[in-house]
Amino acid sequence: MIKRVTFRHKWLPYALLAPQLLITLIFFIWPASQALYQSVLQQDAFGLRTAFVGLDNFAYLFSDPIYLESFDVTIVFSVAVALLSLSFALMLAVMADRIIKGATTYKTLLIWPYAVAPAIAGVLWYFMFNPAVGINAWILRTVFGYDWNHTLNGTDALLLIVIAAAWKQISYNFLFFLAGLQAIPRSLIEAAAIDGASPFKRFWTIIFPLLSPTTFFLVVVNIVYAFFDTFGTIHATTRGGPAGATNTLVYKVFNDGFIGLDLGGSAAQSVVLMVIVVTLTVVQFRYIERRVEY
Amino acid sequence: MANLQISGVEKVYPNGFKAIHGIDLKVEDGEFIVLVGPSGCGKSTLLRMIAGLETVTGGTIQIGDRVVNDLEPADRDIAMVFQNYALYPHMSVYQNMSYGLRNRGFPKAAIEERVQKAASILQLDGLLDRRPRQLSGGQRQRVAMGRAIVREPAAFLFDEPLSNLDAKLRVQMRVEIKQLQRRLGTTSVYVTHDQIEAMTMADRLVVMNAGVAEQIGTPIDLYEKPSSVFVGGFIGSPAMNFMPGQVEADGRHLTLADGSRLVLPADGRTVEPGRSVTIGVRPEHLMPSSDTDSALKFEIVLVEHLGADTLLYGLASAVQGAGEGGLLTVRMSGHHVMPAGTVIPLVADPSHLHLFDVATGRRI
Ligand SMILES: Nc1ncnc2c1ncn2[C@@H]1O[C@H](COP(=O)(O)OP(=O)(O)O)[C@@H](O)[C@H]1O
Ligand SMILES: [Mg+2]
Repeated sequence: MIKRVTFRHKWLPYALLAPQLLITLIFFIWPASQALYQSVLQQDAFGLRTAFVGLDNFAYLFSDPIYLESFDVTIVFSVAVALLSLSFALMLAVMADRIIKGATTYKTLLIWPYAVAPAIAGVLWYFMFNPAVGINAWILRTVFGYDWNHTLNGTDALLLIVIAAAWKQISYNFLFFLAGLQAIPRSLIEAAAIDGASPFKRFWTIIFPLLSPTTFFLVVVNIVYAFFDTFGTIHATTRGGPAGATNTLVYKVFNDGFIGLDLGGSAAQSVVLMVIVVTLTVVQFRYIERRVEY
Repeated sequence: MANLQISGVEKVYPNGFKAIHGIDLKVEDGEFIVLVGPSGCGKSTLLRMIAGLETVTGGTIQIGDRVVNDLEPADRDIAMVFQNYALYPHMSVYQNMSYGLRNRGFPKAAIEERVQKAASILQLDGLLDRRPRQLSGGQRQRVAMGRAIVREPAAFLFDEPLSNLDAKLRVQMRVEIKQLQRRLGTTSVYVTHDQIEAMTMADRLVVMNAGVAEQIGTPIDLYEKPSSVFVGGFIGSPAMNFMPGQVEADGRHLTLADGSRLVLPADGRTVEPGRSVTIGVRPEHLMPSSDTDSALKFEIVLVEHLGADTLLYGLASAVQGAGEGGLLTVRMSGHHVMPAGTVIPLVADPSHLHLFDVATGRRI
C-alpha cells in the first residue's frame, strides 16, 4: 500500500526536495551533460581551438586497441572481484549463520573492512604483497617458491587489485547474504534434513536457490563497484600498470583526461561508462520487480 | 509400520531451560496419538525430539526396535508435517513430493509411481506442475501431506498442521487427515493446542502441562475421569466449572461456600468428612431444580442459543466464596428462553461430580 502524504502548502514539498535536487543537479546532471557535450568536441594540442567533431571521438575509441584492451581488463577485473568477494562473503555468512555464541562480535569484525577507504585498502595490500618487505610476497616466495612482483608482472598486478578490491566488498556482501540466510525459514532446512538431504545437498538444492534474488542483486552491485568505485584502489597501487595490465575503463578516463589531456576522448569514454551503468541499473530494477517469484 | 516408545524423556535447552520433565509414552503400531496442551507446554519440543530436530537430553526414544536418540532425522524413518507446511518455494509440487525419494536414490519409475499415487489420493493430480505459491492454503496442506506419505515412513509427525487454515477448512482437513491415517494405518503423533481437534482425532490423547504429561488416555476417559484440575479445565468446551467445597460429617454431602449443598457420588469412593476439596462439574451436569433451599443460587448474565443447546452464563456466590460470586456455565439441551437477571436454583448430577485435592489439584 502506498501512503499519500498531503501538504498544506503547494510549495512545501518542492522546498523539501530542493537541497537533494540541487546536489543532483550540480554534482551529477551538470557534469554528465558536460561529458556528453565534451564527447563531441576536440581540442588542439595547446587548448586554443575547439572543434565540433560529431561521433569521431567514439569511432576513434572503438578502433583503438588500447581502449579495447582496457575493456578486456575491466571485464576480467570485475568478474574476478565479484566472484571472489561473493564466494568469500557467502562462505562467511553461512558460518556466521550457524554460530550462536559471540555472533555479534564476529559480525561486527566482519563489517569493519567496509569502513576502510578504497585507497587505504589498496595500500594495505600493496604493502603486504610488496616484493621486498611484504609478508604475503615472502610467504609466496619461501613456501610456494613463487616470485611475486606486481610492479613488473601484469598478472600479479591485476591479482593484487582484485584482492584489494574484493576484500573491501566482502563486508557488504556478507551483510546481505547473512540477512538472506536468516530470512529462510528454519523449517525448510529441517524438512530437507528429514527428507534425507546431506548438509552439502541442502545448501545447493535449498539454500542457494532461495538466496538467488540476493545473489543476483549483489552480482550487479559488485560489478558496478568494480567498474566505478575502484579508482582509489588502483591509483594508490598500480596506477594502471605495468603496461596497462590494470588500466580499467574508469582509470583510463582519468589517465587520458588529466594526464594525457585528451578531454574529448576522455569524455567519450565517460559517456560509454554512463551507458553501461544505466544498463546495469535497468537490468537490476527489472529483475527486482519480479524477484518475489522464484 | 512401527510402534514408538518414549521412556523418561527429558529436554534441557542449551540456555538451561527445562522444557520436558520426564515423559513416558508407548504408542502402538497404527495408533493416532495427539499431544495437546496450552502454548509453551513443550508439545513441539517433544515432537521435534522424536523427529531428531532437537537433541534428547535424558531418557530414550525408540521407533520400532531401534533406539533413535543419536540417529539423524533422515535415518529415523519418520516424516513430518510442519505448521507453515515448509514447502520448498522454488520447486514444483512434483519436485516437493519427490525430493525425499530422490535424495534416497529411488529409481525414477518408482518415484513417478509413488508421487502419482499420493497425488490421486490427495486430489492433487492437476497441480503437480504448480509452485507452492500458486496453491490455496488447503492445497499446500495436502502437498505437505503428500510429501510425507510418498516416503511410506514408519511414523507421521504433525506439528499443528491445521492452525494456518480457516475454521471451515480446518474441520474438513481434520477429517481428511484422520481418514488418510486410518487408510494407511501409519503410527502418528499429532500436536495441537486445540482441544476439539485433539478430542475428535485422537485414539489416545496426551494432555501436557509445563513439560509434564498430566494424563494419557482415550478422549472419553479424559472427559469423564480427568486426573487433575488442569485436565478437567482443559478438555471440554465450554470448560468445566470449579468451586470450593467441604465434605460434611455424614460423608455423603458437600457444603459449598454459599451454604448450599451437593450430593456426593454414591460410587463407593469414600472421602473423609471435613476435608476441603475442589469440586469440578461440567456445564451439562448442572440443572435447574425445584428445591430452592439447598440448591446453588445462580443469576443469569448472558444466554447463548446454539439451537440444540442453550448455554447460560451467570454468577454464583458458591464459585469464588462469599461476595459477588464467580462465573458459572450451565448447558441445557434444547431451546430455552430465560431473561438475564433471572435467579435459578441449580443442582448437580451426583454421578458426574469430580473431586480434586485442593493443594495438588489431583483427582480424589
Ligand atoms: N531453543 C529453545 N531454547 C530455549 N527454550 C526454548 C527453545 N525452544 C522452546 N523453548 C521453550 O520451551 C517451552 C516449550 O516450547 P514448545 O515445545 O515450542 O511449546 P509448544 O509447542 O507446546 O507451544 C517454551 O517455554 C519455550 O519458550
Ligand atoms: Mg508448538
